[in-house]
Amino acid sequence: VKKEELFTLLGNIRPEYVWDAQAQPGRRTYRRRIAVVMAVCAAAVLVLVLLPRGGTEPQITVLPELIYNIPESESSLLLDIEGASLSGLDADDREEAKAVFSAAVGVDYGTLKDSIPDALSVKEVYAHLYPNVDAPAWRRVRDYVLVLADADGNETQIYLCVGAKPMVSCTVLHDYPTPTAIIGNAVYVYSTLRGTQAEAVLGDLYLTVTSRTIGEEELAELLYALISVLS
Amino acid sequence: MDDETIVSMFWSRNEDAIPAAASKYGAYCMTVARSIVKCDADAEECVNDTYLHAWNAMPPQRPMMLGAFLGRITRNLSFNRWRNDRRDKRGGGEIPLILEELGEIASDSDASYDAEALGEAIDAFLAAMTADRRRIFIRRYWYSEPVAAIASRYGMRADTVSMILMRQRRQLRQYLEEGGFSL
Repeated sequence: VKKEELFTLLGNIRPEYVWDAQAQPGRRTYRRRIAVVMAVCAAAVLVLVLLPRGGTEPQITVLPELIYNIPESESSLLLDIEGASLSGLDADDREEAKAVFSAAVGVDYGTLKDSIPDALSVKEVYAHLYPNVDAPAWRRVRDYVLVLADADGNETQIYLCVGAKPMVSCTVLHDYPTPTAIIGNAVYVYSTLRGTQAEAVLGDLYLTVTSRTIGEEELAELLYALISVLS
Repeated sequence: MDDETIVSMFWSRNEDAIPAAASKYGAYCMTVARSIVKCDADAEECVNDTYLHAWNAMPPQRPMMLGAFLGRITRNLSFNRWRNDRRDKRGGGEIPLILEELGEIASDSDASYDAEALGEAIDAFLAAMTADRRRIFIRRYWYSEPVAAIASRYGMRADTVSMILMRQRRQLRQYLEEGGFSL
């Protein structure tokens, strides 16, 4: 097939697809942007109000399970990363992905860089980083690891955001194996590929999550905002 | 005026069908043409030719979605115009880039193929996509829209769109090869 013939053939795509794509994304996107801005503002307020001062560490209440909706546009974008292989990335992206993983566990990047073969899949990299976790659990791993930590060390946990669009479930998987690796009381949301950006935006975000100050809905909003930033 | 009425006017050879179609879909067709041909004058000519072709096509055809039907005619006419311009060294715009991208799927071989089956396979490939992903693909390869414009339209980063399109091309090639098409 010649490429010009392919271009012509693509002109015969089903008309409903063509017509669907001509519509301007409308209010939904606009509303979504507003929601994101509001959620980010809310998170910023939380940061300002609840930022730990004078060594006082905040308490958190880890929600046992959280289900929230992610608009299809975001989730499809994110879930597409599933199964991505480091070997399928170009050199820059591969190094970036490794840097993200190393940041996620507080392991020296140089050490990690040498210890992860390029051919590992994302799932395998997670398993490499968390060898003690049951294999079936890792099969559920998708794009995000959400770490909720407190300085007491006894509530430090990892949420894995998994699921199928448009629903994503965030579930506490296990106690974080190395609490000391977590810097302060941060909320990290990592994307396997977009983590660096997330870190740049959110790296200094310190957040207190308590049942009084933030409920499921607010947390969902926060996650939504973070994911929107990533996407 | 609804599509069905306009199509009926074409069928009854009512010449008011053309201004009616132009009024409703002229701007849309201009957008389609402009993204392919170099200048507005050429685009206008393609759009005007579109109505003539539509007049000749209806009957026998009775499109369910008149806008898409006219858009497809405009696209084909505009692409033909672009090819002619290229021969005259006047071609340009987004099409060379798009063809280069499509070159990752097509190998420019002269082997014969079943165009209808290939078209159906492409439709099936698109049907398996999410609507959002499909729109991105179509904005690029049907509407010939620049990546930056697609990114702006959907509130995404340009490199994200490029990455999505690259994966889609790779997936489409794989899908077609698995379907027995020799590309």
